[in-house]
Amino acid sequence: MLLNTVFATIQLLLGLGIAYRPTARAALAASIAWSLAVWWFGEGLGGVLSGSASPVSGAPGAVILYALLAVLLWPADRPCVTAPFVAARAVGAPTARLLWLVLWGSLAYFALTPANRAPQALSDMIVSMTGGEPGWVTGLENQAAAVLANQGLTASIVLAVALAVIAIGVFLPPPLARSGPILALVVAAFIWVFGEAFGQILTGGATDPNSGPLLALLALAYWPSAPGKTA
Amino acid sequence: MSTPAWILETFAAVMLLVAEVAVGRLVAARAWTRRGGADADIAVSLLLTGIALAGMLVPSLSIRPNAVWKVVFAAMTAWFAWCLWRESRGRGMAAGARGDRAPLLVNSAAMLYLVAALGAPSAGGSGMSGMGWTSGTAGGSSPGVPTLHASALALIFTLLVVAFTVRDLDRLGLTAAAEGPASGYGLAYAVERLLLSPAVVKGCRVATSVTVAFLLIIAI
Repeated sequence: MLLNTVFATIQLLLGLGIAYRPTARAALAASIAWSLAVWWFGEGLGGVLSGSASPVSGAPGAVILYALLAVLLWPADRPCVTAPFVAARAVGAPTARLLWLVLWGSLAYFALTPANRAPQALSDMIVSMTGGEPGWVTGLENQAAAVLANQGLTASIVLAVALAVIAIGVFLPPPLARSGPILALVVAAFIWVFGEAFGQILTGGATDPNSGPLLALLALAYWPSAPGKTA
Repeated sequence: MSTPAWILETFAAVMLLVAEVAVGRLVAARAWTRRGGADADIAVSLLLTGIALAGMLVPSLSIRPNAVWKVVFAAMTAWFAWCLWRESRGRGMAAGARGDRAPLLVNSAAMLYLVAALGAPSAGGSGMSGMGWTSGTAGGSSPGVPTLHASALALIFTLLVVAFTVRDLDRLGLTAAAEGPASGYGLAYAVERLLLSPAVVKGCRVATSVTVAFLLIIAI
Protein backbone atom coordinates (compact mmCIF):
# COMPACT_ATOMS: atom_id res chain seq x y z
CA MET A 1 0.00 0.00 0.00
CA LEU A 2 2.74 2.43 1.02
CA LEU A 3 4.72 1.55 -2.11
CA ASN A 4 1.70 2.18 -4.34
CA THR A 5 1.19 5.53 -2.65
CA VAL A 6 4.84 6.48 -3.18
CA PHE A 7 4.63 5.44 -6.86
CA ALA A 8 1.41 7.39 -7.39
CA THR A 9 2.88 10.46 -5.68
CA ILE A 10 6.03 10.36 -7.81
CA GLN A 11 3.98 10.05 -10.98
CA LEU A 12 1.64 12.86 -9.95
CA LEU A 13 4.62 15.12 -9.25
CA LEU A 14 6.18 14.20 -12.60
CA GLY A 15 2.94 15.10 -14.37
CA LEU A 16 2.59 18.42 -12.59
CA GLY A 17 6.28 19.16 -13.10
CA ILE A 18 6.06 18.53 -16.85
CA ALA A 19 3.07 20.85 -17.21
CA TYR A 20 4.77 23.67 -15.25
CA ARG A 21 7.25 25.43 -17.56
CA PRO A 22 9.99 26.27 -15.02
CA THR A 23 10.29 22.60 -14.04
CA ALA A 24 9.42 20.98 -17.38
CA ARG A 25 12.95 19.94 -18.34
CA ALA A 26 13.83 18.50 -14.93
CA ALA A 27 10.53 16.63 -14.76
CA LEU A 28 10.92 15.29 -18.30
CA ALA A 29 14.44 14.05 -17.49
CA ALA A 30 13.16 12.40 -14.31
CA SER A 31 10.25 10.86 -16.22
CA ILE A 32 12.67 9.24 -18.69
CA ALA A 33 14.65 7.66 -15.83
CA TRP A 34 11.42 6.65 -14.09
CA SER A 35 9.95 5.14 -17.27
CA LEU A 36 13.03 3.10 -18.03
CA ALA A 37 13.14 1.76 -14.46
CA VAL A 38 9.45 0.81 -14.47
CA TRP A 39 9.73 -0.70 -17.97
CA TRP A 40 12.61 -2.89 -16.88
CA PHE A 41 11.71 -3.83 -13.32
CA GLY A 42 7.94 -3.40 -13.33
CA GLU A 43 6.91 -4.52 -16.81
CA GLY A 44 9.69 -6.95 -17.76
CA LEU A 45 10.61 -4.85 -20.80
CA GLY A 46 6.99 -4.94 -21.92
CA GLY A 47 7.27 -8.65 -22.72
CA VAL A 48 9.11 -7.91 -25.98
CA LEU A 49 11.60 -10.70 -25.30
CA SER A 50 8.98 -13.28 -24.36
CA GLY A 51 7.57 -13.83 -27.87
CA SER A 52 4.02 -13.12 -26.73
CA ALA A 53 4.05 -9.33 -26.88
CA SER A 54 1.19 -7.96 -28.96
CA PRO A 55 0.64 -4.41 -30.17
CA VAL A 56 -3.07 -4.91 -29.54
CA SER A 57 -2.55 -5.52 -25.82
CA GLY A 58 -0.01 -2.73 -25.33
CA ALA A 59 3.44 -3.86 -26.56
CA PRO A 60 6.13 -2.61 -26.31
CA GLY A 61 4.73 -1.29 -23.03
CA ALA A 62 3.03 2.02 -22.43
CA VAL A 63 5.75 3.16 -20.06
CA ILE A 64 8.52 3.10 -22.68
CA LEU A 65 6.31 5.26 -24.90
CA TYR A 66 6.33 7.89 -22.13
CA ALA A 67 10.13 7.94 -22.32
CA LEU A 68 10.07 8.16 -26.12
CA LEU A 69 7.59 11.05 -25.98
CA ALA A 70 9.68 12.82 -23.35
CA VAL A 71 12.68 12.71 -25.72
CA LEU A 72 10.72 13.76 -28.82
CA LEU A 73 8.80 16.54 -27.07
CA TRP A 74 11.77 17.92 -25.14
CA PRO A 75 11.40 21.74 -25.09
CA ALA A 76 13.74 23.08 -27.76
CA ASP A 77 14.58 26.77 -27.50
CA ARG A 78 15.86 27.00 -31.02
CA PRO A 79 13.52 29.33 -32.89
CA CYS A 80 15.77 29.41 -35.94
CA VAL A 81 15.62 25.66 -36.36
CA THR A 82 12.98 24.57 -38.88
CA ALA A 83 11.20 21.29 -38.31
CA PRO A 84 8.64 19.55 -40.52
CA PHE A 85 6.72 18.32 -37.44
CA VAL A 86 6.81 18.89 -33.67
CA ALA A 87 8.60 15.64 -32.85
CA ALA A 88 11.57 16.75 -34.96
CA ARG A 89 12.24 19.95 -33.01
CA ALA A 90 14.44 18.45 -30.31
CA VAL A 91 16.20 15.57 -32.06
CA GLY A 92 15.99 16.60 -35.71
CA ALA A 93 13.87 15.15 -38.51
CA PRO A 94 16.13 12.19 -39.49
CA THR A 95 16.38 10.87 -35.91
CA ALA A 96 12.67 11.42 -35.27
CA ARG A 97 11.76 9.54 -38.46
CA LEU A 98 14.10 6.70 -37.52
CA LEU A 99 12.50 6.39 -34.06
CA TRP A 100 9.05 6.32 -35.68
CA LEU A 101 10.17 3.63 -38.10
CA VAL A 102 11.65 1.49 -35.33
CA LEU A 103 8.55 1.77 -33.14
CA TRP A 104 5.87 1.08 -35.75
CA GLY A 105 8.08 -1.43 -37.58
CA SER A 106 8.56 -3.40 -34.38
CA LEU A 107 4.80 -3.31 -33.75
CA ALA A 108 4.28 -4.78 -37.25
CA TYR A 109 6.75 -7.54 -36.39
CA PHE A 110 5.01 -8.30 -33.06
CA ALA A 111 1.66 -8.56 -34.85
CA LEU A 112 3.04 -11.47 -36.91
CA THR A 113 4.66 -13.57 -34.17
CA PRO A 114 3.24 -17.12 -33.83
CA ALA A 115 1.53 -16.31 -30.53
CA ASN A 116 -0.41 -13.50 -32.18
CA ARG A 117 -1.36 -15.15 -35.47
CA ALA A 118 -2.95 -18.24 -33.87
CA PRO A 119 -6.61 -18.62 -34.95
CA GLN A 120 -8.13 -17.54 -31.63
CA ALA A 121 -5.28 -15.30 -30.39
CA LEU A 122 -6.83 -11.89 -31.04
CA SER A 123 -10.37 -12.96 -30.20
CA ASP A 124 -9.32 -14.51 -26.87
CA MET A 125 -7.20 -11.47 -26.06
CA ILE A 126 -10.18 -9.17 -26.53
CA VAL A 127 -12.52 -11.40 -24.49
CA SER A 128 -9.96 -11.48 -21.66
CA MET A 129 -10.32 -7.71 -21.28
CA THR A 130 -14.01 -7.83 -20.32
CA GLY A 131 -13.63 -8.70 -16.64
CA GLY A 132 -14.99 -5.98 -14.36
CA GLU A 133 -15.97 -3.70 -17.25
CA PRO A 134 -19.32 -1.90 -17.49
CA GLY A 135 -21.95 -3.62 -19.63
CA TRP A 136 -21.51 -1.41 -22.68
CA VAL A 137 -17.75 -2.05 -22.80
CA THR A 138 -18.27 -5.80 -22.35
CA GLY A 139 -20.82 -5.75 -25.19
CA LEU A 140 -18.41 -3.87 -27.44
CA GLU A 141 -15.57 -6.28 -26.68
CA ASN A 142 -17.73 -9.39 -27.18
CA GLN A 143 -18.91 -8.11 -30.55
CA ALA A 144 -15.34 -7.50 -31.69
CA ALA A 145 -14.24 -10.90 -30.40
CA ALA A 146 -17.08 -12.59 -32.29
CA VAL A 147 -16.08 -10.88 -35.55
CA LEU A 148 -12.45 -11.92 -35.09
CA ALA A 149 -13.11 -15.50 -33.91
CA ASN A 150 -10.87 -17.96 -35.78
CA GLN A 151 -9.54 -15.09 -37.93
CA GLY A 152 -6.21 -14.77 -36.09
CA LEU A 153 -3.96 -15.11 -39.15
CA THR A 154 -6.00 -12.76 -41.34
CA ALA A 155 -6.30 -10.18 -38.57
CA SER A 156 -2.57 -10.36 -37.87
CA ILE A 157 -1.67 -9.84 -41.51
CA VAL A 158 -4.08 -6.90 -41.91
CA LEU A 159 -2.78 -5.32 -38.70
CA ALA A 160 0.85 -5.87 -39.67
CA VAL A 161 0.31 -4.31 -43.10
CA ALA A 162 -1.40 -1.29 -41.53
CA LEU A 163 1.44 -0.90 -39.02
CA ALA A 164 4.07 -1.24 -41.75
CA VAL A 165 2.31 1.42 -43.86
CA ILE A 166 2.32 3.70 -40.81
CA ALA A 167 6.03 3.00 -40.27
CA ILE A 168 7.01 4.13 -43.75
CA GLY A 169 4.32 6.82 -43.91
CA VAL A 170 6.56 9.33 -42.19
CA PHE A 171 8.96 9.20 -45.16
CA LEU A 172 6.28 10.02 -47.73
CA PRO A 173 6.45 13.33 -49.64
CA PRO A 174 4.31 16.29 -48.40
CA PRO A 175 1.09 15.53 -50.32
CA LEU A 176 0.92 12.10 -48.63
CA ALA A 177 2.71 12.95 -45.40
CA ARG A 178 -0.48 13.06 -43.34
CA SER A 179 -1.57 9.56 -44.32
CA GLY A 180 0.84 7.93 -41.83
CA PRO A 181 -0.30 9.91 -38.77
CA ILE A 182 -3.98 9.59 -39.80
CA LEU A 183 -3.72 5.82 -40.10
CA ALA A 184 -1.76 5.76 -36.83
CA LEU A 185 -4.62 7.60 -35.09
CA VAL A 186 -7.13 5.10 -36.45
CA VAL A 187 -5.03 2.10 -35.37
CA ALA A 188 -4.36 3.65 -31.95
CA ALA A 189 -8.12 4.13 -31.45
CA PHE A 190 -8.78 0.51 -32.49
CA ILE A 191 -6.10 -0.76 -30.10
CA TRP A 192 -7.32 1.36 -27.17
CA VAL A 193 -11.01 0.57 -27.57
CA PHE A 194 -10.96 -3.11 -28.53
CA GLY A 195 -7.54 -4.44 -27.54
CA GLU A 196 -7.09 -2.53 -24.29
CA ALA A 197 -10.72 -1.83 -23.32
CA PHE A 198 -9.91 1.84 -22.67
CA GLY A 199 -6.87 0.79 -20.60
CA GLN A 200 -9.33 -0.97 -18.26
CA ILE A 201 -9.73 2.36 -16.50
CA LEU A 202 -13.42 1.69 -15.93
CA THR A 203 -12.67 -1.47 -13.93
CA GLY A 204 -11.19 0.64 -11.13
CA GLY A 205 -7.99 -1.43 -11.11
CA ALA A 206 -5.92 0.12 -13.89
CA THR A 207 -2.50 1.60 -13.18
CA ASP A 208 -2.24 3.50 -16.47
CA PRO A 209 -4.37 4.15 -19.58
CA ASN A 210 -2.16 1.74 -21.61
CA SER A 211 -0.57 2.43 -25.00
CA GLY A 212 -3.52 3.59 -27.16
CA PRO A 213 -3.60 7.27 -26.11
CA LEU A 214 0.20 7.45 -26.21
CA LEU A 215 0.33 6.12 -29.78
CA ALA A 216 -2.27 8.73 -30.71
CA LEU A 217 -0.25 11.49 -29.04
CA LEU A 218 2.82 10.27 -30.88
CA ALA A 219 0.92 10.44 -34.19
CA LEU A 220 -0.08 14.04 -33.41
CA ALA A 221 3.57 14.89 -32.66
CA TYR A 222 4.42 13.73 -36.20
CA TRP A 223 1.58 15.69 -37.81
CA PRO A 224 3.16 17.64 -40.71
CA SER A 225 3.35 21.39 -40.27
CA ALA A 226 1.21 23.51 -42.55
CA PRO A 227 2.94 24.64 -45.75
CA GLY A 228 5.01 27.75 -45.12
CA LYS A 229 5.11 27.09 -41.38
CA THR A 230 7.50 25.09 -39.26
CA ALA A 231 6.85 23.27 -36.00
CA MET B 1 -8.77 -1.28 -3.76
CA SER B 2 -8.62 1.16 -0.86
CA THR B 3 -7.12 4.56 -0.29
CA PRO B 4 -5.26 5.23 2.97
CA ALA B 5 -7.01 7.67 5.26
CA TRP B 6 -4.00 9.95 5.50
CA ILE B 7 -4.02 10.57 1.74
CA LEU B 8 -7.66 11.64 1.88
CA GLU B 9 -6.87 13.82 4.89
CA THR B 10 -3.92 15.43 3.11
CA PHE B 11 -6.09 16.32 0.12
CA ALA B 12 -8.77 17.61 2.51
CA ALA B 13 -6.20 19.82 4.27
CA VAL B 14 -5.11 21.28 0.93
CA MET B 15 -8.75 21.95 0.05
CA LEU B 16 -9.32 23.76 3.35
CA LEU B 17 -6.24 25.87 2.57
CA VAL B 18 -7.71 26.70 -0.84
CA ALA B 19 -10.97 27.72 0.85
CA GLU B 20 -9.07 29.94 3.29
CA VAL B 21 -7.10 31.58 0.48
CA ALA B 22 -10.39 32.19 -1.37
CA VAL B 23 -11.84 33.88 1.73
CA GLY B 24 -8.65 35.93 2.11
CA ARG B 25 -8.88 36.92 -1.53
CA LEU B 26 -12.49 38.06 -1.15
CA VAL B 27 -11.62 40.09 1.96
CA ALA B 28 -8.48 41.57 0.39
CA ALA B 29 -10.31 42.48 -2.81
CA ARG B 30 -13.03 44.16 -0.74
CA ALA B 31 -10.51 46.12 1.34
CA TRP B 32 -8.29 47.03 -1.58
CA THR B 33 -10.86 47.97 -4.18
CA ARG B 34 -13.82 48.79 -1.87
CA ARG B 35 -15.88 46.31 -3.81
CA GLY B 36 -16.01 42.55 -4.24
CA GLY B 37 -13.57 42.51 -7.12
CA ALA B 38 -14.23 41.56 -10.72
CA ASP B 39 -13.44 37.90 -10.08
CA ALA B 40 -15.49 37.43 -6.93
CA ASP B 41 -17.38 34.55 -8.54
CA ILE B 42 -14.09 32.70 -9.03
CA ALA B 43 -13.14 33.14 -5.37
CA VAL B 44 -16.62 32.07 -4.23
CA SER B 45 -16.47 28.97 -6.43
CA LEU B 46 -13.05 28.05 -5.05
CA LEU B 47 -14.34 28.56 -1.51
CA LEU B 48 -17.42 26.36 -2.01
CA THR B 49 -15.57 23.69 -3.98
CA GLY B 50 -12.81 23.56 -1.35
CA ILE B 51 -15.33 23.10 1.48
CA ALA B 52 -17.34 20.51 -0.46
CA LEU B 53 -14.27 18.49 -1.42
CA ALA B 54 -12.92 18.54 2.13
CA GLY B 55 -16.28 17.19 3.30
CA MET B 56 -16.26 14.47 0.64
CA LEU B 57 -12.76 13.37 1.57
CA VAL B 58 -13.20 13.48 5.36
CA PRO B 59 -16.80 12.94 6.54
CA SER B 60 -16.29 14.85 9.80
CA LEU B 61 -15.65 18.01 7.73
CA SER B 62 -18.97 17.71 5.90
CA ILE B 63 -21.15 20.66 6.88
CA ARG B 64 -24.04 20.50 4.42
CA PRO B 65 -26.35 17.70 3.28
CA ASN B 66 -25.84 16.30 -0.17
CA ALA B 67 -28.98 17.92 -1.59
CA VAL B 68 -27.67 21.39 -0.75
CA TRP B 69 -24.42 20.74 -2.58
CA LYS B 70 -26.34 19.51 -5.62
CA VAL B 71 -28.17 22.84 -5.75
CA VAL B 72 -24.94 24.78 -5.14
CA PHE B 73 -23.02 23.07 -7.92
CA ALA B 74 -25.97 23.11 -10.31
CA ALA B 75 -26.15 26.89 -9.78
CA MET B 76 -22.37 27.27 -10.18
CA THR B 77 -22.42 25.20 -13.39
CA ALA B 78 -25.26 27.31 -14.78
CA TRP B 79 -23.46 30.54 -13.78
CA PHE B 80 -20.17 29.62 -15.43
CA ALA B 81 -21.96 28.26 -18.50
CA TRP B 82 -23.69 31.64 -18.83
CA CYS B 83 -20.37 33.49 -18.31
CA LEU B 84 -18.72 31.32 -20.94
CA TRP B 85 -21.57 31.92 -23.37
CA ARG B 86 -21.31 35.68 -22.72
CA GLU B 87 -17.54 35.66 -23.28
CA SER B 88 -17.90 33.55 -26.43
CA ARG B 89 -20.52 35.76 -28.03
CA GLY B 90 -19.06 37.27 -31.19
CA ARG B 91 -15.65 35.72 -30.53
CA GLY B 92 -16.47 32.05 -30.91
CA MET B 93 -16.37 29.11 -28.49
CA ALA B 94 -12.61 28.68 -28.88
CA ALA B 95 -12.01 32.16 -27.47
CA GLY B 96 -14.35 31.43 -24.58
CA ALA B 97 -12.62 28.13 -23.86
CA ARG B 98 -9.32 29.98 -23.55
CA GLY B 99 -10.75 32.17 -20.78
CA ASP B 100 -10.72 31.64 -17.03
CA ARG B 101 -14.35 30.48 -16.75
CA ALA B 102 -14.06 27.34 -18.90
CA PRO B 103 -12.05 25.30 -16.35
CA LEU B 104 -14.36 26.49 -13.59
CA LEU B 105 -17.35 25.33 -15.62
CA VAL B 106 -15.77 21.90 -16.05
CA ASN B 107 -14.88 21.70 -12.35
CA SER B 108 -18.40 22.74 -11.29
CA ALA B 109 -19.99 20.21 -13.64
CA ALA B 110 -17.60 17.50 -12.39
CA MET B 111 -18.50 18.35 -8.79
CA LEU B 112 -22.22 18.23 -9.65
CA TYR B 113 -21.66 14.84 -11.24
CA LEU B 114 -19.71 13.64 -8.19
CA VAL B 115 -22.32 14.67 -5.63
CA ALA B 116 -25.07 13.23 -7.83
CA ALA B 117 -23.30 10.01 -8.80
CA LEU B 118 -21.96 9.34 -5.31
CA GLY B 119 -25.14 10.49 -3.64
CA ALA B 120 -26.47 7.13 -2.57
CA PRO B 121 -24.52 4.48 -0.66
CA SER B 122 -24.41 1.01 -2.14
CA ALA B 123 -26.63 -1.66 -0.64
CA GLY B 124 -25.65 -2.37 2.94
CA GLY B 125 -22.88 0.15 2.69
CA SER B 126 -21.84 2.68 5.26
CA GLY B 127 -19.31 4.41 3.05
CA MET B 128 -21.23 7.66 2.72
CA SER B 129 -22.18 9.78 5.65
CA GLY B 130 -24.28 12.56 4.22
CA MET B 131 -21.90 13.55 1.48
CA GLY B 132 -18.78 12.34 3.26
CA TRP B 133 -16.54 9.50 2.28
CA THR B 134 -15.34 7.07 4.90
CA SER B 135 -11.58 7.26 5.07
CA GLY B 136 -9.73 4.15 4.17
CA THR B 137 -12.51 2.54 2.17
CA ALA B 138 -12.54 4.55 -1.00
CA GLY B 139 -12.66 2.72 -4.30
CA GLY B 140 -15.62 1.71 -6.38
CA SER B 141 -14.96 -1.99 -6.30
CA SER B 142 -14.94 -2.45 -2.54
CA PRO B 143 -18.06 -3.62 -0.76
CA GLY B 144 -19.86 -1.00 1.28
CA VAL B 145 -18.44 2.01 -0.50
CA PRO B 146 -20.24 4.49 -2.72
CA THR B 147 -21.23 3.16 -6.10
CA LEU B 148 -20.39 5.53 -8.93
CA HIS B 149 -23.12 5.70 -11.52
CA ALA B 150 -22.30 6.27 -15.20
CA SER B 151 -18.57 5.69 -14.73
CA ALA B 152 -17.85 6.53 -18.38
CA LEU B 153 -18.93 10.07 -17.55
CA ALA B 154 -16.35 10.08 -14.75
CA LEU B 155 -13.66 9.19 -17.30
CA ILE B 156 -14.76 12.02 -19.59
CA PHE B 157 -14.78 14.50 -16.72
CA THR B 158 -11.36 13.28 -15.60
CA LEU B 159 -9.91 13.88 -19.07
CA LEU B 160 -11.44 17.37 -19.25
CA VAL B 161 -10.28 18.32 -15.74
CA VAL B 162 -6.76 17.03 -16.44
CA ALA B 163 -6.61 18.87 -19.78
CA PHE B 164 -7.54 22.20 -18.19
CA THR B 165 -5.16 21.53 -15.29
CA VAL B 166 -2.28 21.07 -17.72
CA ARG B 167 -3.24 24.32 -19.44
CA ASP B 168 -3.51 26.15 -16.11
CA LEU B 169 -0.12 24.84 -14.98
CA ASP B 170 1.44 25.91 -18.25
CA ARG B 171 0.01 29.42 -17.85
CA LEU B 172 0.96 29.46 -14.17
CA GLY B 173 4.60 29.21 -15.19
CA LEU B 174 4.21 32.26 -17.43
CA THR B 175 2.20 34.23 -14.84
CA ALA B 176 4.67 33.57 -12.02
CA ALA B 177 7.58 34.66 -14.20
CA ALA B 178 5.78 37.85 -15.28
CA GLU B 179 4.79 38.92 -11.77
CA GLY B 180 8.24 38.90 -10.24
CA PRO B 181 9.00 39.14 -6.53
CA ALA B 182 7.09 41.43 -4.15
CA SER B 183 8.97 44.45 -2.85
CA GLY B 184 8.46 47.35 -0.40
CA TYR B 185 5.29 48.67 1.29
CA GLY B 186 5.41 46.26 4.27
CA LEU B 187 3.93 42.89 5.15
CA ALA B 188 0.25 43.81 4.81
CA TYR B 189 0.80 44.99 1.25
CA ALA B 190 2.81 41.89 0.42
CA VAL B 191 0.07 39.59 1.77
CA GLU B 192 -2.62 41.51 -0.08
CA ARG B 193 -0.60 41.48 -3.27
CA LEU B 194 -0.05 37.75 -2.85
CA LEU B 195 -3.73 37.01 -2.26
CA LEU B 196 -4.80 39.07 -5.26
CA SER B 197 -2.11 37.61 -7.49
CA PRO B 198 -3.41 35.75 -10.59
CA ALA B 199 -0.79 33.07 -9.93
CA VAL B 200 -2.35 32.29 -6.54
CA VAL B 201 -5.79 31.89 -8.11
CA LYS B 202 -4.40 29.62 -10.78
CA GLY B 203 -2.48 27.65 -8.12
CA CYS B 204 -5.68 27.19 -6.12
CA ARG B 205 -7.52 26.14 -9.26
CA VAL B 206 -4.81 23.60 -10.07
CA ALA B 207 -4.97 22.18 -6.52
CA THR B 208 -8.76 21.95 -6.73
CA SER B 209 -8.66 20.32 -10.16
CA VAL B 210 -6.08 17.76 -9.06
CA THR B 211 -8.29 16.86 -6.09
CA VAL B 212 -11.40 16.58 -8.28
CA ALA B 213 -9.49 14.36 -10.73
CA PHE B 214 -8.17 12.27 -7.82
CA LEU B 215 -11.69 11.75 -6.46
CA LEU B 216 -13.05 10.88 -9.90
CA ILE B 217 -10.30 8.34 -10.50
CA ILE B 218 -10.60 6.57 -7.14
CA ALA B 219 -14.37 6.56 -7.48
CA ILE B 220 -14.39 4.81 -10.87
